[in-house]
Amino acid sequence: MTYKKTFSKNRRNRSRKNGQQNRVLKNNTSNNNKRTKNNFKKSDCLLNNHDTLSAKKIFFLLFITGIALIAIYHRSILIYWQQTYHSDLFNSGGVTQDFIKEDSDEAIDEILLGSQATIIDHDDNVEDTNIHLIKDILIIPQPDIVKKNQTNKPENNQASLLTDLGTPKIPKHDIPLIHEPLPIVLTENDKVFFAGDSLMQGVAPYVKKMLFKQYKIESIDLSKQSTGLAYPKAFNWPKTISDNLITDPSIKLLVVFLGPNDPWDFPVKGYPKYVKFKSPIWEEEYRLRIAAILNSAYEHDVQVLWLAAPCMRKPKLNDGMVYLNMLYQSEIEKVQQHFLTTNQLLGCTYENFTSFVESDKGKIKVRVDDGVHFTSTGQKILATAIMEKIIFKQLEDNDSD
Amino acid sequence: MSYLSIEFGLIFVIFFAIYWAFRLLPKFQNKLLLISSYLIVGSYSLQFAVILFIYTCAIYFFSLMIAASKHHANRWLILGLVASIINLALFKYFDFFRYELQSLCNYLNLSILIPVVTVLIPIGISFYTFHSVSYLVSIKKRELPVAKFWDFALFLAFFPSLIAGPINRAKTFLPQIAVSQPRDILEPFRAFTLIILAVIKVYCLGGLISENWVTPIFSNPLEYSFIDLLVGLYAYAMQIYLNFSGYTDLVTGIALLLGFRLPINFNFPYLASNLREFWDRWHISLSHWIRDYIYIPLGGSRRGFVRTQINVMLAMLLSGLWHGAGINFIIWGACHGIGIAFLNILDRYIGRGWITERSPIVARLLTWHYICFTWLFFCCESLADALDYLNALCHNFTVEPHYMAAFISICVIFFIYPLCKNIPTWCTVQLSRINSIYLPVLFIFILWLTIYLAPSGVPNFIYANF
Repeated sequence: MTYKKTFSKNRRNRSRKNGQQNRVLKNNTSNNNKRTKNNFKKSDCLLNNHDTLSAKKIFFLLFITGIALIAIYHRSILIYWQQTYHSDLFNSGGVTQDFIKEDSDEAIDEILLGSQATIIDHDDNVEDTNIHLIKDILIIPQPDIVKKNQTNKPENNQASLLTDLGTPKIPKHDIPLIHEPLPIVLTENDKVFFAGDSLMQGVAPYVKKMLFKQYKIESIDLSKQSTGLAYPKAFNWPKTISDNLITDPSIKLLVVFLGPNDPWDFPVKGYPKYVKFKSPIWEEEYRLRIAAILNSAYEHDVQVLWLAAPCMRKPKLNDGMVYLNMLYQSEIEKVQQHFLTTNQLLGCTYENFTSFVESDKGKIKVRVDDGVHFTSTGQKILATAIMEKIIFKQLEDNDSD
Repeated sequence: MSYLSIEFGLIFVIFFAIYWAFRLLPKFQNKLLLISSYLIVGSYSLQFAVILFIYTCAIYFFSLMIAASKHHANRWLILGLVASIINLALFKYFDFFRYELQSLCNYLNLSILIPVVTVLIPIGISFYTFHSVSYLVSIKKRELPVAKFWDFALFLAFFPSLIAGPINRAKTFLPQIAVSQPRDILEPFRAFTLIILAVIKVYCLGGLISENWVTPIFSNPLEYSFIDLLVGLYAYAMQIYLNFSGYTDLVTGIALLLGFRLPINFNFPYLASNLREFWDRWHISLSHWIRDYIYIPLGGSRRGFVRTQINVMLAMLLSGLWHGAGINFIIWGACHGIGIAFLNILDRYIGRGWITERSPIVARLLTWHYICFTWLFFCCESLADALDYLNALCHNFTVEPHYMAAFISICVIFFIYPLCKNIPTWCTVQLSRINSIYLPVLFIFILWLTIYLAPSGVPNFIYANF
């Protein structure tokens, strides 16, 4: 009500109120008037000159412009909203009631995943690693099977694994039976491809420089802030990676570093609402996306080095990283690729966040104040760790080596 | 909250309506501004808002003491300045000097362990420190009476200039707050022009240059040729200008729409034909602040030629250190100090504006290249990175250039740039000529096109970190 009153007052006082602005513009407009030949235009211009811009007019101007831009860019805005607030603008809330049943499955699944993770950590049980291997060999070359096998029915998986274990077949694509990932060997002609979010944006330039300085190896860094695997509409990493591997066959190593933008609910095709983070459907979908990246790498004979998301200051985000790493690690282990844990490099654990790492010079700050990103020292530490994973092979020694 | 975000845009439109609904009550408008400014600071962190408030109280106390004390006003002024500088230094430089202090302690065999704590730099601390210094000095010089507390609080917290300037002077800004007559929207067409230019500069041009030229070239300078590396330097110079001047345009436009006038911060700096002129055109509010509160108190140019050069050097080094605690920023400041001192020497021995008189374009070209060279230290995170870049720049003559087209287009831009001088005024005039009914259509079209061409994501304001 008060608005209307004041606005109408504004209208009455308009000419007086905006006299000052008119004065400012008067010179310009009088010049314009001289130039305009057409009488009609002249009067129009004069009218315009008197037609001052009141607060009300400016408000409507801003309002209309704002509404129109929102209407034009509503899709981008919805994606932005999704990325920033991790919910649907119109349908807030995740899937909860509909999938209580699956939630109980999740518990079982987590136990299984947990056991996988421990096996991987200790890696002393050969038989168990074989299980993974066989499972992966069957899965990886055929993306369709991946989808079926990766459902959240542990009993099925286990059953099929057990039968597979009895008759270890040689896979169709002739992957040798190995327990350790093949070392990453690169030559001068090979390229390295960096994919990831703002964490990678900080680390990749250092690795790029080191690679070029030490080995003359060129690299491609497509890392982009605020990206991950959760919102492919905003940025589709599996597709980007696949496209790039197709266009540039000299890429021989893919380095992936992401996660902090992902521990949120996201939409899944076929479900009306956002799927809750850590729910079975979420996990299934997320694992598919990881597998898709690993698949395209496999298809193009590209090795993968996946960096674990490190500890984070915010407890919720940190918990999310623990969970996501479990997914990354188990998927990576399936395809016998490299998984690089980052916490010990940065001197923290998931239980105890710290921005500092102990060194001979005392404590060095490796994380910036947001508790997510790295200082340049932290970036260099990670870059060096990536470099240590790479073995350089001189081209001349190609045959003898 | 970024001032170029959708959220800010929407909230601002609503705020604008509420703000002008109370046009007849400027005191109430001030309260609205103060609350919204604190909300914006609080949106970064609640602590930042608390720190700002405590700081405001402390400086206000000093100003009261300066005004009240007849014999010790000078001491109170010094105390106030020391307090504000210590406050700034503690937050800004603690991390940087912790290592140095610790190694000094170790060297002296002192068993003191400097606490390892993460100090978050409060948003806008540099800028409100500058504002408060200008206020204290004005009170001491009796240019101003002591402001009302809430007016002073708004002077420090005024959201358009809080995050990255421009640096307001108490003398010109406090009277704008303490009005009793209803405020008016100032120069609305200029405000529109500034806001639209800001979107184009920061979002579109700055974003495109950063994504296509700066980031790839700076990520590994070693693999690029001499030409590419030149493109990288030119592009960074363009990006930082577009980003920062765009930001200033945006907040100046917003302030005009709220009835406030902010100082001019940029005046086509790359048209400068020498380094001194550059500082008269680049971040003007900072260079004038440094001139008035550092250079002149040090003695300025009144104490002989050599002392003047030392003062210039000190002022520039402090300016560098203010931009960031790190050897690179100090080198950057030193480069500018040396540059200006060198210019002064040239002026003294071969005459003022010797090159400019003979060939203005050569003068501009030389200035531009020197500035680009200094930006290298500003842009690189460490000295080693900057040296790598320089090293590659001096050696990679045989590598095949990837950015030849970019190089040629930057050359063309350099030569047609003087023509852009009148664009803002021209746009303002054109907007004022158009019937206001068509304005939304025009704005929608321009903004649609800009956003369409711009890379995705809201770019960061580089200067918000300082």
